[in-house]
Amino acid sequence: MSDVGNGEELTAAEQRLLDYLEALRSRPPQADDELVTAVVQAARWQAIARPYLLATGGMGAALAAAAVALLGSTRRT
Amino acid sequence: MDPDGELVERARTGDLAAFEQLVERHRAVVYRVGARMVGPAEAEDISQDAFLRAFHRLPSFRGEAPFRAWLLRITQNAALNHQARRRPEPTEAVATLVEDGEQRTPADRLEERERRERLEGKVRHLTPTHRAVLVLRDIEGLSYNEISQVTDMPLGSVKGRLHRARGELIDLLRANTYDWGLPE
Repeated sequence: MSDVGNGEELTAAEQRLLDYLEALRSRPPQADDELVTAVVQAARWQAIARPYLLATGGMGAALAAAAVALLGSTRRT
Repeated sequence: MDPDGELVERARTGDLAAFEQLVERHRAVVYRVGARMVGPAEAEDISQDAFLRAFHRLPSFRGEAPFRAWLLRITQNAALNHQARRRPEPTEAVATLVEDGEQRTPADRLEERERRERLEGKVRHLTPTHRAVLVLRDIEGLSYNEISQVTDMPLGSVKGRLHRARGELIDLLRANTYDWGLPE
């Protein structure tokens, strides 16, 4: 049994609302059993791929910074 | 003491078996909150998103709040981001609910189901901050203290916001053509 609303001063409308919400509490939507497998599989390949993606991103950023610096120096000369 | 502390410590070092146990332990509440916030059709995507975000953010988890509260905060944010990206749903959305085996007439069951679906739709039309506290307190039954940790709001603000959330939902139901029989 839920303690929702216990010890609170509720209006008649709020009390009725909590009664309605009790119907939602008593019939919860349920997660598929596959959820755990899907999450763990995704975490596994992301854990493997992440360092490479970060390295690729870092290399891209370094190249972009170098290109900007080079372009800047060319324009100044 | 956080009951998830040991598993969290192991998962932080990349132990996927420990992470799997955390997912198994919290999948039901994460899924329910996602479903209540944006609807059951997208609850699975939101759950996956929330768990994977949590997995990658574990190194920055400092344990200032229990893991469950931290995870539910990520879930709430994932749900709100998800909702912001998609089209608005129809006012009277249909939800998939678990059926029970109680003995009632088909007409009773149909009416109850319709009422629940209407109510779920109305909950999803609350403003996001109101919806979060109402779902966490009045549907999921979290303590005020835990809601304060999930939403990062002081305890007094949680109580005030819950009061306003109930008021907003009552107003939405009263404005509905369906007769909810709410006293004045």
